Amino acid sequence: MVQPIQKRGHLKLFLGYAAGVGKTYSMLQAAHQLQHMGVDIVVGYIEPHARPDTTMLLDGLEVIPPEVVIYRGKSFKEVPLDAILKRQPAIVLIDELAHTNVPTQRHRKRYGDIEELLAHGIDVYATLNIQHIESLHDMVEDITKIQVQERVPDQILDHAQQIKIVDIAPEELLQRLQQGKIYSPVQAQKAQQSFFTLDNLIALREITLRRVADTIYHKKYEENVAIAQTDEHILVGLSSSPTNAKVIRSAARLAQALHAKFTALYVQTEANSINKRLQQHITLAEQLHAEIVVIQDDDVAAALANFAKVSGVTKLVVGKTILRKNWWRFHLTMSERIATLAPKLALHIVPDEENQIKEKPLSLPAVKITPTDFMKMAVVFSITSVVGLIVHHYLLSEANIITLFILSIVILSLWTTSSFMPFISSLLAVLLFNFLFTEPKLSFQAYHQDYPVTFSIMFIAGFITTSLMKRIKSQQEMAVRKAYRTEILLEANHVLQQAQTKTMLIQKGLLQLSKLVELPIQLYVFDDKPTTHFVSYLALTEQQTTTVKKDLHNVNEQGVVNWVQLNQQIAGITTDTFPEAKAYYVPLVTTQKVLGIIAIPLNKAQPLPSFEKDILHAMINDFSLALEKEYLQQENEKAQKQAAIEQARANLLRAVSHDLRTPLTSIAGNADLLRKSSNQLAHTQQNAISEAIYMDAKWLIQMVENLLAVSRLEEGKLALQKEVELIEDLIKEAIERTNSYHAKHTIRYEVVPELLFGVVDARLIIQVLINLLDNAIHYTPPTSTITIRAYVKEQILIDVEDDGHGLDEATKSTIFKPFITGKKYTADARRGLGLGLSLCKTIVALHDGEIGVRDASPHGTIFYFSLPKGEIKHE
Amino acid sequence: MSNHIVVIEDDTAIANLIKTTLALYHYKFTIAKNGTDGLKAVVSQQPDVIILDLGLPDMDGIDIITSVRSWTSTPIIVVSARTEPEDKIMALDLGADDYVTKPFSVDELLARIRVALRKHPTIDEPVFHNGDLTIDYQAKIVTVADKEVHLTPIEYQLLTILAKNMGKVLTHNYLLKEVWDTTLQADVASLRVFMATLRKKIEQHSAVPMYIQTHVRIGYRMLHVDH
Repeated sequence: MVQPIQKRGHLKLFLGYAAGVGKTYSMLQAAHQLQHMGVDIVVGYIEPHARPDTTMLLDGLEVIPPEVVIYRGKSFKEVPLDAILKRQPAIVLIDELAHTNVPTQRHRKRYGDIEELLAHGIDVYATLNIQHIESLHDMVEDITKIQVQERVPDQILDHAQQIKIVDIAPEELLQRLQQGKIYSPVQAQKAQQSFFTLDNLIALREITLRRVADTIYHKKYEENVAIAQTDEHILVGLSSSPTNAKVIRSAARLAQALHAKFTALYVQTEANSINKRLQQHITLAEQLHAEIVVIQDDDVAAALANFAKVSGVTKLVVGKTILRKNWWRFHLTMSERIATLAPKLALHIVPDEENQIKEKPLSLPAVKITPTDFMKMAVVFSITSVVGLIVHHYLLSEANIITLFILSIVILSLWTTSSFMPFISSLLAVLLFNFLFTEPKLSFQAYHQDYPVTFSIMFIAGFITTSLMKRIKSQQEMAVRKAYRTEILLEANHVLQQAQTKTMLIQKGLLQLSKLVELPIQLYVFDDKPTTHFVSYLALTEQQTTTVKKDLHNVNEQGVVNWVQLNQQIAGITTDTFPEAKAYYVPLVTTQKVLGIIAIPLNKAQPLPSFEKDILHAMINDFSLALEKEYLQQENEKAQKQAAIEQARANLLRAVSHDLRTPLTSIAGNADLLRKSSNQLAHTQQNAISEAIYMDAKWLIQMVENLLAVSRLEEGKLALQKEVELIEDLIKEAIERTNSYHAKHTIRYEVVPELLFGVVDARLIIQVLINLLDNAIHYTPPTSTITIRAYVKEQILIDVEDDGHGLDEATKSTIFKPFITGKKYTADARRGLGLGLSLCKTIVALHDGEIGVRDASPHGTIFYFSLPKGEIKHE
Repeated sequence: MSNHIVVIEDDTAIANLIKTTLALYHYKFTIAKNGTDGLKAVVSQQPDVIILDLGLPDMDGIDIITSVRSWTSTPIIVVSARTEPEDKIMALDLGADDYVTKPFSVDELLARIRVALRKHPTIDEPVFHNGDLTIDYQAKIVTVADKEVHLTPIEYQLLTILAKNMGKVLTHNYLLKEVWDTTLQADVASLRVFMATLRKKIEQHSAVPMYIQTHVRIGYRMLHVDH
């Protein structure tokens, strides 16, 4: 069910500087007070290891039992998210905000659960320790020498509506620890040795107070835009270096302290591709409110400097390690180069050595050459050697041979893909030259004193040339890829603009998305009814189809779809919500509602590169806009149609009340005549009057039948109750109902073949026949013969033929026009025309048939209409 | 004539119309203005036919059908202003024999009463006669004007069900359940085909073409045919 997402709930944090300061206790006390005041408050989750004082406080509070999750054979207790959502309390208490959930849970982190609760309008009280705040992580680590694994983004703290600092003096905390109020004695002793030292606690306490003060100051800034105008702009470079995270956090702290604009720049060179760690750093920077910018340039320093100049960056934060890198680049460190390139830029160099080496730096790319490249190399060098030997044989100069080798290296670099090729091929060329062409031949020795220089120059020339070639080649490839994607994006925009129908729009949109990510795309489109959805997917290969069916079409994934629809947020693999799902789910959100969900099956090994993700989101955005446009158009059309129906109804009502007036006057007048003056009337006169009353009443009955039919038609084509009907039955029924009050005409029918079936709404088609018969009876002399003929051509054709006087051409051309719009219809014109025939036309049109009129021979009129053939299974 | 008719109808004008008509054709009758009185009249008068309006002030006409059917098979003709066939089908499925829809003509009503009164040969008779149509239940032989008609098993089954309920409108659902053991709407189409072929077979020999009457959207009925 889609419900409008209501007002967001408020978050109140109980923040402490260490375990045991009494956060949970304080939170529970607050809960008791609120409950006493009549607030609907429940305990969502309290850590089971809670201390005795705390556990006692649970008494008298409503506790929703934790969800027990079995994961890899162990049982875990987690926040009972669905139970809380179902219970809908005003306030829910949740302990330990920083907790990491079992992977099978919906959200990777507990704060994800809290976010969802807030999104559903439930206020949350939660506890948190300062060391879990992302940007403070390094500081805490520096002080305590303990690495904190569970971290929460700063925005949780910044966005909390209330923060209550639960504070006690560090000495008192230590005393509590010694009394065993926090941990068991053994644990307490251990804790005291490492974490719970007086110095640590004082430092943590200070960090806590300062961080909260900062948050409050920050909030004041946010609210008051006038003073938020700050000229400071902090830039930090992103890289996959393991020390980068620390630099990012330092930069973020700096930005926060200065209330500065904060940008994280990633310079994509040909040498570095986006890997997992870089992805982590990008996410980290995002969490710390940095704007992420990706630039493609081979010169990192130049890119940073240029960006700084263009974007008005005031401070660039770099790590200390950067100073000793890049020793080969003209003996200038990167920071020196940046300083030269952007002299006005302030450089902040922060220490970025890890306190502990947690991960080994990424291993150097393996010296690997693919077999094909190896073959190519062998072939090229063989040819070069042979040609070289020939040249040598004719005693041409060695210079030619060297040039020849350089040429072969260049050819190789163009022809092969392995990244170590320039180095290997250059080296090999030198060795080959040495081996084959220098004295003594067929050895790696060289007598002449010039040779070492020759070899070096040859190697360097070869290496530089080929490196440049490689770089150009890969830049070209990258440029082509980028161009291709940009083109897809433009094309997508174009295609989506042009799509005529919703189906086309969906088809094209899916195709473009699929082209971009080169993966199958699944789309869920939601209809007006909240729970139903229409699923379509696009797969490029057979194998993709199976993947989609196997991975996406199951209950688990359906759950994710429902969640995304309800919460209007991205979820699935590579996100923190449903990280165990098999696909990446993006809702197509518009101003009004979630129109659909795009699902892209991914696996953890191959996440979407950041660049592609951006384009993907841009394209999905385009797609939702196009869908919304389409949706609004539909709504508009519906409204117009509705207005037209209203108009028609008003017209009809006016026309009908007019039309009713005539026969009613006649009935009332005639009956009055009979009532008052029957004595003065001759018997024949009395008969004539009763006959007139009877006829007018009959006419009214027919009119009512037609009106009923009209009222059903207003419900549109879907209201038709089409069934396979025997045409003869319909004709018989129509004749019977007409015949009952008009026996003077001869009515015949013939149906060929006898068992002629049509798929029709029986009552409406009978009404058509009755109207046609009625007209024939009305407008022909009493002795006429009326013949109904039903036969089959491409469609079923039904003729109603009379042998009356026929119609003139003018009447024939206007006869089916509804009298409600026909200006020529005058008040005293013969009634019965008009509504009847225009209704017939509508009914036949709704059956995808046609109605018309032609002359009969020798005289008379044929009204005819066609109906689709009915097909029937015969057992 | 001594046939007694109970009319349960709350609308005075319609009740008067029926009253006048019945008096004119010398039927004995009792008029009840609501469901409670109607049920009482049915119990005390033991009528031959009941004319029942479905829309009554105190109870739904459908409930009266159910109640009456629990103890007697007196023919019930339903009078209905409801235009959707579903109401009629429901009334018929619950045991009503026939229906007229408002506005109806006097002739129409009289015709229905005559059909209802012509109560039918006992079901257990081994041979069924209706005009020229004869069904020998034991031999499973159907003849029309002494000529044997060859029917498929389903056609035969349909014919016997209609014959055993002569005068009563049988709904599609009822027939489907009796013959095919199913009430899936999709099968109504095949029912129509069988009914059409059956009708061709038994009526092509006859000068009077109306053994089986079609009620569009509702069902079929076998009519009594005079010699």
